[in-house]
Amino acid sequence: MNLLRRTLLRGLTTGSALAVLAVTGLLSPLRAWSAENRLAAFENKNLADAMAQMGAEHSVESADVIIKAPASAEDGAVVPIDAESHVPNTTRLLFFIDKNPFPLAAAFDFLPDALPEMGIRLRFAETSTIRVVAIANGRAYHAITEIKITAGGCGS
Amino acid sequence: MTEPIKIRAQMKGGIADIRILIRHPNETGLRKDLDSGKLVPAHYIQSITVDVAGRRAVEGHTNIALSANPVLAFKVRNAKVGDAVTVSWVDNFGEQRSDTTPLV
Repeated sequence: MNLLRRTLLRGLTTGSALAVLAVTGLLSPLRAWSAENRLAAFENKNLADAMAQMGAEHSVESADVIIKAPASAEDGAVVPIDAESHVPNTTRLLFFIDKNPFPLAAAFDFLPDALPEMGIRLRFAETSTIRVVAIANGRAYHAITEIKITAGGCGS
Repeated sequence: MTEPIKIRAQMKGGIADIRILIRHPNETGLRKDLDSGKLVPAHYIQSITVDVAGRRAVEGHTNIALSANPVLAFKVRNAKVGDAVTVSWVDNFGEQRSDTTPLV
């Protein structure tokens, strides 16, 4: 009787611990990315915080993430950016423009049929570095490059 | 009022090459109207999806950093000529648009 009670208690404790792990995203291969998390990240004015909200706070620079973009653009309102990841099992690309009012610019998920590469046109408020983060197997890898803007994008 | 999404979807070397032009102002909310001097409200795309042959290939989220009338490009495997390519978007006003074109 006592043994059964102990087993049940232990089971409950393990269950709760697992629930906590699942909620904090430690158990899932990808960091939890609820609509609330995502919206908060897109509205975050702090680069480091926005990166953390998207699971990219421990991102390491990698030659397997490639950004193709002009070194300078006359019009910050339309800057063509091509990005691709050669990191195996890349499922997500994140675009952070460091000096924009809201650094997180775009986040794209690639399902198994899609190659982890894309082209997009983004708006730069001013000359800034852009970092593209590839999420693969729950880890983050990035490339970074600076784009000089000779005219403003936001507010002009 | 939304305008049709322009989609060009071609098989190239066994891979579907999908190029998209979305017509949308993507207002940042930081721009002043030249006549009234008031800020033009932020009006921008928040979600974009691409489906090929009924299967989700890409799902993305954006904010005011997406350019006006943005061009996007994606590549998708396991597709064939004739497959339906559907692109959809939703903006912060709740407006949405979805258009489909066959892969050629």
